[in-house]
Amino acid sequence: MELSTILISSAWAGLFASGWAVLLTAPARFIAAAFVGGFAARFARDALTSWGLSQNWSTAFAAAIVVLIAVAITRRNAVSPVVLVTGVLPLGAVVAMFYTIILLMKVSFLTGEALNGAVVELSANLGKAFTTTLAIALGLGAGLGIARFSWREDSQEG
Amino acid sequence: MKPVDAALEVALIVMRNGGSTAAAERAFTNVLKGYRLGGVVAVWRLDFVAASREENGQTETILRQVGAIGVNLTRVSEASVLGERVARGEVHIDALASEVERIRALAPPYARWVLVVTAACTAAFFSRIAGGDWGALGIVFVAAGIGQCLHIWLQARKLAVAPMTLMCGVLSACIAVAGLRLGLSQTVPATAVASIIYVAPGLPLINGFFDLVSHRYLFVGLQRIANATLLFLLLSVAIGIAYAVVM
Repeated sequence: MELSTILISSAWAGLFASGWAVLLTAPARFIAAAFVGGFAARFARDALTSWGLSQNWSTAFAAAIVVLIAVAITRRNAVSPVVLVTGVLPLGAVVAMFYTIILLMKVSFLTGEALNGAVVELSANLGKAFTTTLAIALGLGAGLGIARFSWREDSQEG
Repeated sequence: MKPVDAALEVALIVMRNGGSTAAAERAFTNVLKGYRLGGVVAVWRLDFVAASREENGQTETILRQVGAIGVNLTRVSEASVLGERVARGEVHIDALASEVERIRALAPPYARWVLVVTAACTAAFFSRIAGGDWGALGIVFVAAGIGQCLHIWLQARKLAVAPMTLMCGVLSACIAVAGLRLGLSQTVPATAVASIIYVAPGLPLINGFFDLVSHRYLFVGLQRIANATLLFLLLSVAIGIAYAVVM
Protein backbone atom coordinates (compact mmCIF):
# COMPACT_ATOMS: atom_id res chain seq x y z
CA MET A 1 0.00 0.00 0.00
CA GLU A 2 1.34 3.44 -0.92
CA LEU A 3 2.02 6.05 1.75
CA SER A 4 -0.46 8.48 0.19
CA THR A 5 -3.22 5.84 0.32
CA ILE A 6 -2.40 5.10 3.96
CA LEU A 7 -2.44 8.80 4.84
CA ILE A 8 -5.78 9.37 3.09
CA SER A 9 -7.47 6.41 4.83
CA SER A 10 -5.93 7.54 8.15
CA ALA A 11 -7.33 11.03 7.61
CA TRP A 12 -10.82 9.56 7.01
CA ALA A 13 -10.41 7.51 10.21
CA GLY A 14 -9.32 10.60 12.16
CA LEU A 15 -12.27 12.62 10.87
CA PHE A 16 -14.63 9.75 11.69
CA ALA A 17 -13.20 9.49 15.22
CA SER A 18 -13.53 13.22 15.92
CA GLY A 19 -17.10 13.24 14.55
CA TRP A 20 -17.94 10.27 16.74
CA ALA A 21 -16.52 12.14 19.76
CA VAL A 22 -18.96 15.00 19.06
CA LEU A 23 -21.84 12.51 18.81
CA LEU A 24 -20.81 11.11 22.21
CA THR A 25 -21.04 14.69 23.55
CA ALA A 26 -17.41 14.59 24.59
CA PRO A 27 -15.99 17.86 25.93
CA ALA A 28 -14.33 19.94 23.20
CA ARG A 29 -10.80 19.19 24.49
CA PHE A 30 -11.21 15.51 23.54
CA ILE A 31 -12.12 16.12 19.90
CA ALA A 32 -8.57 16.76 18.70
CA ALA A 33 -7.42 13.82 20.84
CA ALA A 34 -10.01 11.60 19.18
CA PHE A 35 -8.73 12.69 15.75
CA VAL A 36 -5.17 11.78 16.76
CA GLY A 37 -6.31 8.41 18.16
CA GLY A 38 -8.33 7.50 15.05
CA PHE A 39 -5.60 8.68 12.68
CA ALA A 40 -2.80 6.90 14.56
CA ALA A 41 -4.74 3.65 14.87
CA ARG A 42 -5.54 3.42 11.18
CA PHE A 43 -2.07 4.59 10.15
CA ALA A 44 -0.41 1.99 12.39
CA ARG A 45 -2.64 -0.81 11.10
CA ASP A 46 -2.24 0.03 7.42
CA ALA A 47 1.49 0.73 7.71
CA LEU A 48 2.18 -2.52 9.58
CA THR A 49 0.04 -4.48 7.11
CA SER A 50 1.89 -2.99 4.15
CA TRP A 51 5.22 -3.90 5.81
CA GLY A 52 4.17 -7.54 5.78
CA LEU A 53 2.60 -8.05 9.20
CA SER A 54 -0.69 -9.95 9.17
CA GLN A 55 -3.95 -7.99 9.35
CA ASN A 56 -4.76 -9.36 12.82
CA TRP A 57 -1.39 -8.58 14.42
CA SER A 58 -1.45 -5.12 12.83
CA THR A 59 -4.92 -4.53 14.30
CA ALA A 60 -3.75 -5.68 17.75
CA PHE A 61 -0.74 -3.32 17.64
CA ALA A 62 -2.95 -0.46 16.46
CA ALA A 63 -5.43 -1.04 19.33
CA ALA A 64 -2.55 -1.01 21.83
CA ILE A 65 -1.34 2.29 20.32
CA VAL A 66 -4.84 3.78 20.81
CA VAL A 67 -4.71 2.87 24.52
CA LEU A 68 -1.28 4.48 24.92
CA ILE A 69 -2.48 7.64 23.15
CA ALA A 70 -5.58 7.75 25.39
CA VAL A 71 -3.37 7.37 28.48
CA ALA A 72 -0.92 10.04 27.31
CA ILE A 73 -3.76 12.48 26.69
CA THR A 74 -5.63 11.82 29.95
CA ARG A 75 -2.50 11.86 32.17
CA ARG A 76 -4.36 11.07 35.39
CA ASN A 77 -3.76 7.35 35.76
CA ALA A 78 -6.93 6.81 33.77
CA VAL A 79 -7.86 5.98 30.21
CA SER A 80 -10.15 8.27 28.25
CA PRO A 81 -13.01 6.05 26.99
CA VAL A 82 -13.82 8.61 24.27
CA VAL A 83 -10.39 8.32 22.67
CA LEU A 84 -10.56 4.52 22.96
CA VAL A 85 -14.05 4.10 21.50
CA THR A 86 -13.45 6.52 18.66
CA GLY A 87 -9.96 5.14 18.02
CA VAL A 88 -10.81 1.45 17.76
CA LEU A 89 -14.04 1.82 15.76
CA PRO A 90 -12.19 2.49 12.47
CA LEU A 91 -10.21 -0.72 13.08
CA GLY A 92 -13.26 -2.76 13.89
CA ALA A 93 -14.91 -5.58 12.13
CA VAL A 94 -18.19 -3.67 12.11
CA VAL A 95 -18.87 -4.19 8.39
CA ALA A 96 -17.98 -7.90 8.60
CA MET A 97 -20.04 -8.25 11.80
CA PHE A 98 -23.18 -6.68 10.32
CA TYR A 99 -22.77 -8.53 7.03
CA THR A 100 -22.41 -11.81 8.94
CA ILE A 101 -25.77 -11.30 10.66
CA ILE A 102 -27.43 -10.29 7.37
CA LEU A 103 -26.00 -13.41 5.67
CA LEU A 104 -27.16 -15.49 8.62
CA MET A 105 -30.71 -14.26 7.97
CA LYS A 106 -30.27 -14.78 4.21
CA VAL A 107 -29.10 -18.42 4.37
CA SER A 108 -32.32 -19.41 6.10
CA PHE A 109 -34.30 -19.00 2.85
CA LEU A 110 -31.70 -19.80 0.18
CA THR A 111 -31.40 -23.16 -1.58
CA GLY A 112 -29.04 -24.98 -3.94
CA GLU A 113 -26.04 -23.17 -5.42
CA ALA A 114 -27.02 -19.81 -3.93
CA LEU A 115 -27.02 -21.39 -0.47
CA ASN A 116 -23.52 -22.84 -0.98
CA GLY A 117 -22.17 -19.45 -2.04
CA ALA A 118 -23.82 -17.66 0.87
CA VAL A 119 -22.51 -20.22 3.38
CA VAL A 120 -18.93 -19.76 2.15
CA GLU A 121 -19.34 -15.97 2.33
CA LEU A 122 -20.89 -16.29 5.81
CA SER A 123 -17.96 -18.41 7.08
CA ALA A 124 -15.42 -15.94 5.69
CA ASN A 125 -17.18 -12.94 7.27
CA LEU A 126 -17.66 -14.75 10.56
CA GLY A 127 -13.97 -15.62 10.70
CA LYS A 128 -12.96 -12.06 9.85
CA ALA A 129 -15.32 -10.54 12.42
CA PHE A 130 -14.15 -12.96 15.12
CA THR A 131 -10.41 -12.62 14.55
CA THR A 132 -10.53 -8.82 14.18
CA THR A 133 -12.58 -8.44 17.37
CA LEU A 134 -10.18 -10.76 19.17
CA ALA A 135 -7.19 -8.80 17.86
CA ILE A 136 -8.72 -5.53 19.10
CA ALA A 137 -9.46 -7.05 22.52
CA LEU A 138 -5.90 -8.42 22.70
CA GLY A 139 -4.44 -5.05 21.70
CA LEU A 140 -6.57 -3.15 24.21
CA GLY A 141 -5.63 -5.63 26.93
CA ALA A 142 -1.92 -5.36 26.09
CA GLY A 143 -2.13 -1.55 25.96
CA LEU A 144 -3.84 -1.44 29.35
CA GLY A 145 -1.23 -3.82 30.77
CA ILE A 146 1.59 -1.54 29.56
CA ALA A 147 -0.22 1.53 30.93
CA ARG A 148 -0.77 -0.08 34.35
CA PHE A 149 2.87 -1.17 34.48
CA SER A 150 4.06 2.38 33.72
CA TRP A 151 1.67 3.83 36.37
CA ARG A 152 3.14 1.41 38.92
CA GLU A 153 6.67 2.42 37.94
CA ASP A 154 5.70 6.13 38.24
CA SER A 155 4.13 5.66 41.68
CA GLN A 156 7.21 3.74 42.91
CA GLU A 157 9.48 6.54 41.64
CA GLY A 158 7.16 9.19 43.12
CA MET B 1 -27.21 15.17 52.30
CA LYS B 2 -25.62 12.15 54.06
CA PRO B 3 -22.07 11.27 52.98
CA VAL B 4 -22.91 7.92 51.36
CA ASP B 5 -25.96 9.42 49.62
CA ALA B 6 -23.86 12.27 48.26
CA ALA B 7 -21.17 9.88 47.02
CA LEU B 8 -23.82 7.71 45.35
CA GLU B 9 -25.41 10.72 43.63
CA VAL B 10 -22.07 11.74 42.10
CA ALA B 11 -21.35 8.15 41.03
CA LEU B 12 -24.83 7.79 39.51
CA ILE B 13 -24.25 10.87 37.33
CA VAL B 14 -21.26 9.02 35.88
CA MET B 15 -23.22 5.78 35.35
CA ARG B 16 -26.32 7.45 33.89
CA ASN B 17 -24.37 9.46 31.35
CA GLY B 18 -22.23 6.78 29.75
CA GLY B 19 -19.23 6.73 32.10
CA SER B 20 -17.42 3.51 32.93
CA THR B 21 -18.02 1.66 36.20
CA ALA B 22 -14.40 2.29 37.21
CA ALA B 23 -14.96 6.06 36.75
CA ALA B 24 -18.19 5.86 38.81
CA GLU B 25 -16.42 4.02 41.64
CA ARG B 26 -13.50 6.49 41.52
CA ALA B 27 -15.94 9.42 41.92
CA PHE B 28 -17.74 7.55 44.73
CA THR B 29 -14.48 6.86 46.59
CA ASN B 30 -13.24 10.44 46.11
CA VAL B 31 -16.39 11.93 47.66
CA LEU B 32 -16.12 9.55 50.64
CA LYS B 33 -12.45 10.52 50.98
CA GLY B 34 -13.54 14.16 51.20
CA TYR B 35 -15.91 13.22 54.06
CA ARG B 36 -13.08 11.13 55.62
CA LEU B 37 -15.44 8.15 55.68
CA GLY B 38 -14.07 4.63 55.33
CA GLY B 39 -15.45 1.10 55.40
CA VAL B 40 -18.13 1.65 52.77
CA VAL B 41 -18.67 -1.25 50.37
CA ALA B 42 -20.44 -0.68 47.04
CA VAL B 43 -21.99 -3.19 44.65
CA TRP B 44 -22.27 -2.06 41.02
CA ARG B 45 -24.90 -3.24 38.56
CA LEU B 46 -26.35 -1.67 35.43
CA ASP B 47 -29.82 -1.45 37.03
CA PHE B 48 -28.88 -0.52 40.62
CA VAL B 49 -26.01 0.49 42.89
CA ALA B 50 -25.92 -0.58 46.56
CA ALA B 51 -23.66 0.92 49.21
CA SER B 52 -23.31 -0.61 52.64
CA ARG B 53 -21.67 0.67 55.82
CA GLU B 54 -21.33 -0.76 59.31
CA GLU B 55 -21.73 1.65 62.24
CA ASN B 56 -22.07 0.78 65.95
CA GLY B 57 -22.57 -2.89 65.08
CA GLN B 58 -25.44 -2.13 62.69
CA THR B 59 -25.27 -2.32 58.92
CA GLU B 60 -26.90 0.39 56.83
CA THR B 61 -27.45 -0.34 53.14
CA ILE B 62 -28.55 2.24 50.59
CA LEU B 63 -29.91 1.13 47.23
CA ARG B 64 -30.18 3.46 44.25
CA GLN B 65 -31.76 2.68 40.88
CA VAL B 66 -29.56 3.59 37.90
CA GLY B 67 -32.46 4.00 35.47
CA ALA B 68 -32.12 4.94 31.82
CA ILE B 69 -28.54 5.32 30.61
CA GLY B 70 -27.89 8.10 28.13
CA VAL B 71 -24.74 9.68 26.76
CA ASN B 72 -23.46 13.01 28.02
CA LEU B 73 -19.74 12.75 28.58
CA THR B 74 -19.54 16.39 29.64
CA ARG B 75 -21.56 15.50 32.75
CA VAL B 76 -19.31 12.45 33.30
CA SER B 77 -16.24 14.63 33.09
CA GLU B 78 -17.72 17.26 35.46
CA ALA B 79 -18.75 14.59 38.00
CA SER B 80 -15.25 13.08 37.94
CA VAL B 81 -13.69 16.51 38.46
CA LEU B 82 -16.17 17.21 41.30
CA GLY B 83 -15.15 13.95 43.02
CA GLU B 84 -11.47 14.93 42.80
CA ARG B 85 -12.17 18.43 44.15
CA VAL B 86 -14.15 16.98 47.10
CA ALA B 87 -11.28 14.57 47.85
CA ARG B 88 -8.79 17.48 47.88
CA GLY B 89 -11.09 19.46 50.19
CA GLU B 90 -11.75 22.19 47.59
CA VAL B 91 -15.54 21.76 47.72
CA HIS B 92 -17.29 22.22 51.05
CA ILE B 93 -19.68 19.45 52.00
CA ASP B 94 -22.60 21.93 52.14
CA ALA B 95 -21.98 22.98 48.54
CA LEU B 96 -22.01 19.40 47.22
CA ALA B 97 -25.80 19.11 46.74
CA SER B 98 -25.92 22.29 44.64
CA GLU B 99 -22.91 21.10 42.60
CA VAL B 100 -24.69 17.79 41.92
CA GLU B 101 -27.78 19.71 40.78
CA ARG B 102 -25.66 21.95 38.54
CA ILE B 103 -24.07 18.93 36.81
CA ARG B 104 -27.46 17.21 36.42
CA ALA B 105 -28.80 20.32 34.69
CA LEU B 106 -25.90 20.58 32.24
CA ALA B 107 -27.27 20.53 28.72
CA PRO B 108 -25.48 18.62 25.94
CA PRO B 109 -22.58 20.78 24.78
CA TYR B 110 -23.60 20.73 21.13
CA ALA B 111 -26.71 22.14 19.46
CA ARG B 112 -29.13 19.76 17.73
CA TRP B 113 -28.24 20.91 14.24
CA VAL B 114 -24.54 20.33 15.04
CA LEU B 115 -25.37 16.74 16.05
CA VAL B 116 -27.37 16.18 12.84
CA VAL B 117 -24.59 17.51 10.60
CA THR B 118 -21.95 15.61 12.59
CA ALA B 119 -23.89 12.33 12.40
CA ALA B 120 -24.23 12.76 8.63
CA CYS B 121 -20.53 13.59 8.21
CA THR B 122 -19.32 10.85 10.60
CA ALA B 123 -21.33 8.19 8.79
CA ALA B 124 -20.11 9.51 5.43
CA PHE B 125 -16.48 9.34 6.65
CA PHE B 126 -17.09 5.78 7.82
CA SER B 127 -18.36 4.79 4.39
CA ARG B 128 -14.94 5.77 2.99
CA ILE B 129 -13.12 3.80 5.72
CA ALA B 130 -15.28 0.74 4.97
CA GLY B 131 -14.37 0.92 1.28
CA GLY B 132 -17.36 2.83 -0.06
CA ASP B 133 -17.21 4.93 -3.23
CA TRP B 134 -18.18 8.62 -3.56
CA GLY B 135 -21.77 7.63 -4.35
CA ALA B 136 -21.89 5.74 -1.04
CA LEU B 137 -20.59 8.84 0.74
CA GLY B 138 -23.48 10.92 -0.64
CA ILE B 139 -26.16 8.31 0.11
CA VAL B 140 -24.85 7.74 3.65
CA PHE B 141 -24.64 11.48 4.36
CA VAL B 142 -28.35 11.89 3.58
CA ALA B 143 -29.46 8.62 5.26
CA ALA B 144 -27.60 9.28 8.53
CA GLY B 145 -28.60 12.95 8.62
CA ILE B 146 -32.31 12.13 8.31
CA GLY B 147 -31.92 9.22 10.76
CA GLN B 148 -30.26 11.46 13.33
CA CYS B 149 -33.15 13.96 13.05
CA LEU B 150 -35.52 11.11 13.98
CA HIS B 151 -33.10 10.00 16.74
CA ILE B 152 -33.14 13.46 18.35
CA TRP B 153 -36.93 13.70 18.01
CA LEU B 154 -37.42 10.27 19.66
CA GLN B 155 -34.86 11.04 22.40
CA ALA B 156 -36.85 14.16 23.31
CA ARG B 157 -39.90 11.89 23.74
CA LYS B 158 -37.87 9.63 26.07
CA LEU B 159 -38.39 6.48 24.02
CA ALA B 160 -36.47 3.38 25.22
CA VAL B 161 -33.10 2.79 23.55
CA ALA B 162 -33.93 -0.51 21.79
CA PRO B 163 -37.05 0.60 19.81
CA MET B 164 -35.38 3.96 19.09
CA THR B 165 -32.31 2.21 17.65
CA LEU B 166 -34.48 -0.08 15.54
CA MET B 167 -36.63 2.77 14.17
CA CYS B 168 -33.65 4.98 13.30
CA GLY B 169 -31.81 2.00 11.84
CA VAL B 170 -34.76 1.01 9.63
CA LEU B 171 -35.22 4.59 8.35
CA SER B 172 -31.54 5.15 7.56
CA ALA B 173 -31.05 1.69 6.07
CA CYS B 174 -34.16 2.09 3.86
CA ILE B 175 -32.84 5.40 2.50
CA ALA B 176 -29.41 3.83 1.92
CA VAL B 177 -30.83 0.75 0.18
CA ALA B 178 -33.07 3.01 -1.95
CA GLY B 179 -29.93 4.89 -3.04
CA LEU B 180 -28.27 1.58 -3.90
CA ARG B 181 -31.33 0.49 -5.88
CA LEU B 182 -31.16 3.72 -7.86
CA GLY B 183 -27.60 2.74 -8.78
CA LEU B 184 -25.91 5.67 -7.02
CA SER B 185 -23.27 3.34 -5.54
CA GLN B 186 -21.88 -0.13 -6.21
CA THR B 187 -20.43 -0.70 -2.71
CA VAL B 188 -23.42 -2.37 -1.04
CA PRO B 189 -22.13 -3.49 2.42
CA ALA B 190 -20.20 -0.27 3.08
CA THR B 191 -23.22 1.89 2.21
CA ALA B 192 -25.71 -0.13 4.25
CA VAL B 193 -23.53 -0.41 7.36
CA ALA B 194 -22.24 3.18 7.29
CA SER B 195 -25.80 4.54 7.08
CA ILE B 196 -26.60 3.18 10.56
CA ILE B 197 -23.19 3.58 12.23
CA TYR B 198 -24.27 6.73 14.12
CA VAL B 199 -26.54 4.57 16.35
CA ALA B 200 -23.98 1.80 16.91
CA PRO B 201 -23.47 1.13 20.65
CA GLY B 202 -19.71 1.70 20.73
CA LEU B 203 -19.58 3.21 24.21
CA PRO B 204 -21.47 0.41 26.06
CA LEU B 205 -19.33 -2.15 24.25
CA ILE B 206 -16.02 -0.57 25.30
CA ASN B 207 -17.24 0.16 28.85
CA GLY B 208 -18.43 -3.44 29.10
CA PHE B 209 -15.10 -4.73 27.85
CA PHE B 210 -13.21 -2.69 30.46
CA ASP B 211 -15.57 -3.83 33.21
CA LEU B 212 -14.92 -7.44 32.21
CA VAL B 213 -11.14 -7.24 32.01
CA SER B 214 -10.94 -5.35 35.31
CA HIS B 215 -12.25 -8.53 37.09
CA ARG B 216 -14.03 -6.22 39.54
CA TYR B 217 -17.24 -5.50 37.66
CA LEU B 218 -17.95 -8.79 35.92
CA PHE B 219 -21.75 -8.59 36.19
CA VAL B 220 -22.09 -5.00 35.06
CA GLY B 221 -19.63 -5.75 32.23
CA LEU B 222 -21.74 -8.69 31.06
CA GLN B 223 -24.90 -6.56 31.30
CA ARG B 224 -23.34 -3.82 29.17
CA ILE B 225 -22.06 -6.27 26.54
CA ALA B 226 -25.41 -8.09 26.37
CA ASN B 227 -27.14 -4.72 25.92
CA ALA B 228 -24.71 -3.68 23.15
CA THR B 229 -25.09 -7.08 21.43
CA LEU B 230 -28.87 -6.70 21.42
CA LEU B 231 -28.56 -3.25 19.81
CA PHE B 232 -26.12 -4.59 17.17
CA LEU B 233 -28.61 -7.37 16.44
CA LEU B 234 -31.44 -4.84 16.08
CA LEU B 235 -29.35 -2.78 13.67
CA SER B 236 -28.65 -5.88 11.60
CA VAL B 237 -32.38 -6.62 11.59
CA ALA B 238 -32.93 -3.02 10.43
CA ILE B 239 -30.61 -3.59 7.45
CA GLY B 240 -32.37 -6.90 6.77
CA ILE B 241 -35.79 -5.18 6.80
CA ALA B 242 -34.52 -2.47 4.47
CA TYR B 243 -33.19 -5.11 2.03
CA ALA B 244 -36.49 -6.98 2.13
CA VAL B 245 -38.66 -3.87 1.69
CA VAL B 246 -36.69 -1.75 -0.76
CA MET B 247 -34.46 -4.13 -2.77
